[in-house]
Amino acid sequence: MRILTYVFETALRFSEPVADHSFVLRCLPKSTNTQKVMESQLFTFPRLTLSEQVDGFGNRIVSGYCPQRHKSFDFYATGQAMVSNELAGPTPAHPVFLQPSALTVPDDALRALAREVLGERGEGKRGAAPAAGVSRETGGMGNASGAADVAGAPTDAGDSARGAWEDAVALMAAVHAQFAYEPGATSTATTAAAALALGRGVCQDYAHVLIALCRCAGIPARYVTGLMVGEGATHAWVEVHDGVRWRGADPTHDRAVDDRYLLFATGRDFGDCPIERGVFRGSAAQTQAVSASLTDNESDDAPALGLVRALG
Amino acid sequence: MYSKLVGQTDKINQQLARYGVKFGIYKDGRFDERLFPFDAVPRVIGAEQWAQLERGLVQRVDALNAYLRDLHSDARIIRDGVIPEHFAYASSGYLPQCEHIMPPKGIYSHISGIDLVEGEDGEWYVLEDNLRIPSGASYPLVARGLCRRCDADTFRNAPLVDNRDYGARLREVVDYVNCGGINVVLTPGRYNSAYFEHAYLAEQIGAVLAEAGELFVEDEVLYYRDATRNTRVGAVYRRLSDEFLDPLCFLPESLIGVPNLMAAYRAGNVAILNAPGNGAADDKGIYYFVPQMIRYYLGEEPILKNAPTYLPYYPEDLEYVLANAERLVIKDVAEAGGYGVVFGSELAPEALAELLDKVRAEPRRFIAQEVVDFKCLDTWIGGEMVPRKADLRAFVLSGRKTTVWPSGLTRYAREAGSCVVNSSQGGGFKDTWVLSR
Amino acid sequence: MGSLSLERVGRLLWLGRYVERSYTTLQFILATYDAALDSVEGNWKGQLEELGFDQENDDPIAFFRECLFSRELTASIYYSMSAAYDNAVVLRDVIGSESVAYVQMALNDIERAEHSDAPLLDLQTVIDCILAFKGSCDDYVVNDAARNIIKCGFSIERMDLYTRLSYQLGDLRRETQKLASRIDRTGLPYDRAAFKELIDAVFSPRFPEKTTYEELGVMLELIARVF
Repeated sequence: MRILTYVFETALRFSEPVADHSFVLRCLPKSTNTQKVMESQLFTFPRLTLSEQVDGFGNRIVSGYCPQRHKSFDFYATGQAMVSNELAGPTPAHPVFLQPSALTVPDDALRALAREVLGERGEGKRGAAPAAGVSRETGGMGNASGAADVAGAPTDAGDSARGAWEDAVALMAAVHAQFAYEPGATSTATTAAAALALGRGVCQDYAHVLIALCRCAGIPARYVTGLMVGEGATHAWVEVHDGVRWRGADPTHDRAVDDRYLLFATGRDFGDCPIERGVFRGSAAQTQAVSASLTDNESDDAPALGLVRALG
Repeated sequence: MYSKLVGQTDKINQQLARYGVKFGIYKDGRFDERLFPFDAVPRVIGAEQWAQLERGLVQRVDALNAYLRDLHSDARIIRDGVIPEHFAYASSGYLPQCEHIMPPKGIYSHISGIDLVEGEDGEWYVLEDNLRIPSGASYPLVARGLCRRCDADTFRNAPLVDNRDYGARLREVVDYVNCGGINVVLTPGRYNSAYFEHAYLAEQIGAVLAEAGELFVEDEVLYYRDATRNTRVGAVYRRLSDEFLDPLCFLPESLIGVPNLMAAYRAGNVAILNAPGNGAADDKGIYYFVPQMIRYYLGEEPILKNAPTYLPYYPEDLEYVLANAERLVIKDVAEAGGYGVVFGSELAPEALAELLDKVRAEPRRFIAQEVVDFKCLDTWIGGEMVPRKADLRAFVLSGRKTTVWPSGLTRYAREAGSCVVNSSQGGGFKDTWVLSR
Repeated sequence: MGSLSLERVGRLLWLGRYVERSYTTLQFILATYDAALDSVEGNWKGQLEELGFDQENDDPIAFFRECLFSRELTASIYYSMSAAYDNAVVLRDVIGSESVAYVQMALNDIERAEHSDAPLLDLQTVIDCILAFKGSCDDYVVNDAARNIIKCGFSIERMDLYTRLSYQLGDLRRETQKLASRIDRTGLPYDRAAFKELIDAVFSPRFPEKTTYEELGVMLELIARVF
C-alpha cells in the first residue's frame, strides 16, 4: 500500500483567439477496488464554473463552458490517493468490455496472434461454449455465455482467474516483444490493427493491441488512462478481468500494474477516456503542453517535473 | 366510400406540393427535394381490428421502454438469462455512455414508429421497431386536411377517427417530460431528408426549430441563443442520431451536435426525445426477444406477432435455417439500413452455401426470418386501380401514458409485386383511416 | 413563445428583402419589357443593367428571359425567389406553413412559367403569391418581432431598389416612415447614425426633385449601412 500525491497540469495554446469553448476533462482519479481517493482538486484558467459528474463508465468527469474569447486554456489537478493492489476486492466486469470497440476491432493479424499465443483459447473458446444446451423453447433461460462466468460466478472462480490472467500476461509479453516504442509513429486515432501492422507506437497503441487480443480470447479488457510514478506525462495501460476482479497490465513495460500507478479513467478504448476533449468556435491551431508528477509520500523520489509534451 | 377522393388525386398532390410536403434525397452527390406521391385510396382499419392493434402496440412499446430502463441500470433481464448478453451488448445501438442515466420520468422511447404488415392470412406482423427518430407522421397529417376539403360526404358520414391531433398529442408528451424551459426541435439542418417534417412538427407543437449552433450548455443547463437573451431549454425533440448528438460524448467530429448536451441531460436539466441509447432496443437481433420482454416485464402474452424469426445462435434454429435457407430472409445483425439483408431465394446455390458457411462460423451475427407474404392494397396508378404491397408505420406516443395515434403512415411499393416501400425507391404514401365503429 | 436566435433574425430580414426584391424587380422588368416593344433601337435594356443584368445579349427576348429565369445571375427573379425560399423553409415554425406555402408556390410558378409559351402572362400568379405572402405575414405571423423584421426587410429592399433605379422616388418617404415606425420593435441591431442621416436626406426639402445623382449614391450607401 502506498499514498501517492499527484500534480497534473495541461496548458492549451491557440494560435488565434477562440470562443464558445466547451470541454470535458477526465483528470480526477476515481475510487476503485485498487485505489481510494483521499483528496482531489481541479482549477482552470480562465476561471470557470465547473460541473462534476460521473460518466457511463464510472469516471469522474468535469465539464465547462467558456463563451469569452481566449487564447489559452490551462487546467491543474492535484490530490492524494491510497493505492493497494494487494487488498483489491472482487469487482464485476461489464459485458461491453468483451465487445470490439471502434479502436480495437480485430483483424486477421490480431486474431492470428491471439491464436499463436494461446492456441484454441485465443479464439475465445473459454470453458462454456456459448450455444450449448440452450434451447429456444426455454427462451434462453439457461444462459451459458462466457462473460457471465467471468463476471463473477462463484464456481471455480480461482481457476478461471488464474487462467484468464495468465493468458493476458502471455499476450502482454507477445505485444511487448512485437512492438517498438516510438513516439510520433501513430496518432490518437490509430486502431489496434493499424498499430500492430506498423509494429511501433506509444503506450496508447500497446494498450489497444493488448485489449484487442484479450477480447479475441474472450477475456474482458479495458483501457486505462492515468499516471505512473517516474513518468512526467500521462500514461495508458490495460485492465483485464481475471474472473474475480479487474487487474492492471502495463504492456508498454510488460509488467503487472503495482501501487505506483494512479488511475484517472477507464473505457472501451482511448475514445472513451481522453483527459481533455473540447470544441470551440474559431479556426485556430491548438498546441498542448502537459506536465505530470506522481510521487510516493514514503519515498524520497524526486518528482519528475518539467514541462514536456504528452507522450500518452 | 372514397371514389370521389380518388378523382381528386392530382389536385390533392398539387396542394401537397404547395405545402412543400417533400423528402430530400442525395443523388449523384447532389441534394434534391422530391415530392412524396400521395395515393388517395386510404388504408381502412376497422374499429375492432384497431382496438386489437392498439392494445398490442401499447403493450409492445411499454415492454420496450421497460427493457431500455432495465438495460441501462440493473440489466435484470440479462442476468436472468432471458436475453443472452451478447445480443444486448453487441448491438451497434447500445451506447455504454448512456449507462445509469435515468431520463426524465423514466421514459426512453417517447415516439415509437412500429412497422407492421398485414399478412395474406389477415394477421398483423411487426417487422421492425423504430425507437430512435422514426419519421413520417407529418405526411398523413397534411394529407388528411386536404382530403377533407374535397370530399365532404365521406368525411361527414364515414365513422372516421380524426387524426389531426398528432401535434397536440406530441406536445403533451414533450411538455410532460420537459424539465423547465422552452421546447426545441433540434434538426441537423435543411439538407436532411426529413427536414420538412422537422419544421412542420416544430410548428405543430409550438416549439422552436433549432440547429446545434443556436444552442449551448453552460453549468449543466441547455440554452437557446436568443438574439436578445438566452432562453433555457427544458426539452429537445431531436431529429439527429445519437452518434452526432454531443461531440464531447459521442463522435468527436460531429459538427451538428451540441457540446455537453449529455451533461445537461445527465444532470436531469433537460429531456431528450427520444432518449439516447434507444438503438439498443430496435436492433435486428433484439427484435427476436421482444415477445420474451413482454412476458418478462409485463407478465402478459404478446398480442402482436413478430414475423417468424430464427436465431442461429440456438442450435436447433441453426439447423432449421440451414435446412430452409432458400425460402428465408437472412439478416446480418451488425449491418444497418437495408444492408446485409439477403433473400435466400435470390442467391445462386454457391453464394447461398457461402453465406451459410458464415452463419455456421459466426451464428451470433445473423438472424433469419420467414418471408411474410403481405397484403396488397388498391392503389390508383396511371388511371387504373391496381394492387400494391403496402406496410404501415404506427406511431406510439409515451408520456403520462402510452397511446397510439389513430392513423399512421401507409407506404406502398411503386412496382407491382415489389415489397420495397421506401420513399427513396419511388414508392408513395396513403392516409390510414381508423374507423370508430 | 418568441425565441429568435441571431441567425433567424438575419433570415427573417433576408426573407423580407428577397421577396421584395423578386416583386419589385419583376414589376420593373415587366415595365422595361413593355417599353422595349416600342424602342426600335437604343437602350431597351434600360436601367436593368443597374441591377446587375449586364449580360451581353443582343436579342431582347433572350435578354428578358435571362433576367427572369437565369440560375446564375444573382439579380434574376428566379434567383431572388429561391433565396427567399431558402430562408422561408427554415422559418416554418415562426412564420407558419401557410406563409411558407406562398413562397413555395411563387417559386413553383416561376419554374412553370419558364416552360410556358407566354411566360410574362403566367408570371401574374407569381405576383399574386407574393402579395398573398405579404397578407399572410400580416395576418398569421403571431410573433410580433418576426413580423416586423420581415417588414423591415421589405422596406429596406424597396428603398434600396428605388434609389438604385431612381424609380418612384416619391414613395421613399412613405417607406422610410414605415421603417422608422417598426425598426425599434424588432430587437434588430442597426446603425442608428446611418438611419438618422438617411431620414434627413429623404425628408430634405430638395428631395426628390432637386436631388443629384451623387446624393442618391450617398443615400444608397446609407441604406446599405442600416442593417
